[in-house]
Amino acid sequence: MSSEKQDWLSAASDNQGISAQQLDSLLQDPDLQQQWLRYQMIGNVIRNELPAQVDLQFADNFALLLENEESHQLQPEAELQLAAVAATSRFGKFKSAANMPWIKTMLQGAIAASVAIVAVVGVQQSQKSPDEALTSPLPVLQTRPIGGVATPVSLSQSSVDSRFAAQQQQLQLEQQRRLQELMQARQQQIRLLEQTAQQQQKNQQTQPVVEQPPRGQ
Amino acid sequence: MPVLLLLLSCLLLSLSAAASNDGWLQFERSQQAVKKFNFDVTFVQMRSNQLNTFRWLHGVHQAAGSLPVQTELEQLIPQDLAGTDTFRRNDRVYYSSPGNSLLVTVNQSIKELPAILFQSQNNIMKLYDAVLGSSTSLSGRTAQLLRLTAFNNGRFSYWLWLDGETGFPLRVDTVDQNNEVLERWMVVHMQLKPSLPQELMGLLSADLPTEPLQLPQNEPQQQVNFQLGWLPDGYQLVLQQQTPIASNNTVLASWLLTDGLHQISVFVQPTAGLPAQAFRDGATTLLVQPKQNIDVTVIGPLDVAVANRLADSVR
Repeated sequence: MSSEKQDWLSAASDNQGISAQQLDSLLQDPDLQQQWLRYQMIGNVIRNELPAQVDLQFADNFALLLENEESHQLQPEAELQLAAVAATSRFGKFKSAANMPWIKTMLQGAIAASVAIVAVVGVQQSQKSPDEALTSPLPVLQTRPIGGVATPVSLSQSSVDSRFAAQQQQLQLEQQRRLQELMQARQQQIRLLEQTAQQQQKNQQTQPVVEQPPRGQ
Repeated sequence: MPVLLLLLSCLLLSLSAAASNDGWLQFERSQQAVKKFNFDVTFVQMRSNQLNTFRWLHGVHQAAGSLPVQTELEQLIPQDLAGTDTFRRNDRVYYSSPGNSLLVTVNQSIKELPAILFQSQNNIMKLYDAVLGSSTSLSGRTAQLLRLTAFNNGRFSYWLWLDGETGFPLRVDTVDQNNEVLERWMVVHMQLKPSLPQELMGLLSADLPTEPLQLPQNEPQQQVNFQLGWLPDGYQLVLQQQTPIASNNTVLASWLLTDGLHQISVFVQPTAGLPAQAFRDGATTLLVQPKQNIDVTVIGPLDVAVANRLADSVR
């Protein structure tokens, strides 16, 4: 039993593994601790790591020194430092001022005002005069995959009385919608052109010549 | 002496004929290129203040076997807008757009590509004169300019730049009488492939409906109230079914005219109470002309003056 004990303790002092149970027993048993200390000492001697003089009482002496040491109290110095900074730099002054509630409110107000200015300017810029809106290229007309924006050419793109501008614009939009629809209808017509032609040929072959549909001449 | 003159003039005539013949030969070559080559091309379409980019894939698949069964595949993919994905397998063209059911039509070509590249040369020769221009460098390639000049003033002309090596069209400008460019179609990336592009493999075997959109079988619409009194030079009336209009905007009458290459649409609607207006969308003119209680709308690749005359002729 005893040799068994010493075996693992010896192994542990040679940096081998140690189990939790063994560690517990080492912590609880003073005999084992003494043994452990001895093993370490032996190891040190073998490895030639011993100092000139071994002071086995070092830990106890250090504890005694701590006992005798006076207790010190920490002084809070934050206020002093802030005052020093405030005195040396303007920025520091502003920084301390920024913490005051009145300047915070003012800053918030200034930011809100500048946002409002940007918004107003933005709106003014995005508004076009009605005439310009009428004569500029109308962006609505689109047929896909062919298609795009129709641009006015010649004829009557001008001479719109500004009093009726809004109404005219409404009509224009309606017109654009209609044109867009017609463009799509035309696209469909073209896609079905060959098919229609084929079908008509077939119809003409099967039907006698009597039933000629009226031609729009 | 007069005999010599006659001979000389004959020689000159034949020379000029040969020159124009050369133009048509180049044109033929270019038309063959877009039909026969396997390619992956990106082109841009510029009209007024709009620019659209499309990827265009094309390939011919030769089935392995004793019978030479060829399948022609083509796809048009919009690159910068969520538009319609268009694809073709032989003579079926499919339009697929988000939110809509697949539209199946019978067509030998995708109508959204420049028609001049696909319409039969005989039709085009009736309307245009072909003259070869100079060679320039385009997209790092040598391009041969070919001018197709309209015989008739109301029709727009085409300037084509064809790749010197392959004949593939690199650029097509639609120009008016003053040679001002109305619309430009330009290849910005071209990759010719030895075989069918990989992307089209799926389309080759895809299970697609072959039954095209059913056209209504009823009589062509009766247009007793309105008649078209005049047709622009070279145009013929196409008989057609009811105009597909989605909303409640009624169409009282409509006609479709074609010269074998272009189409002109004419619509009659109740008046919206606006003065006459003309717009241009690239090479397409849109003219709205009010008359008493109707509005006549003419849409097509034609001069405003011709559009006006056509609208005037509606009775």
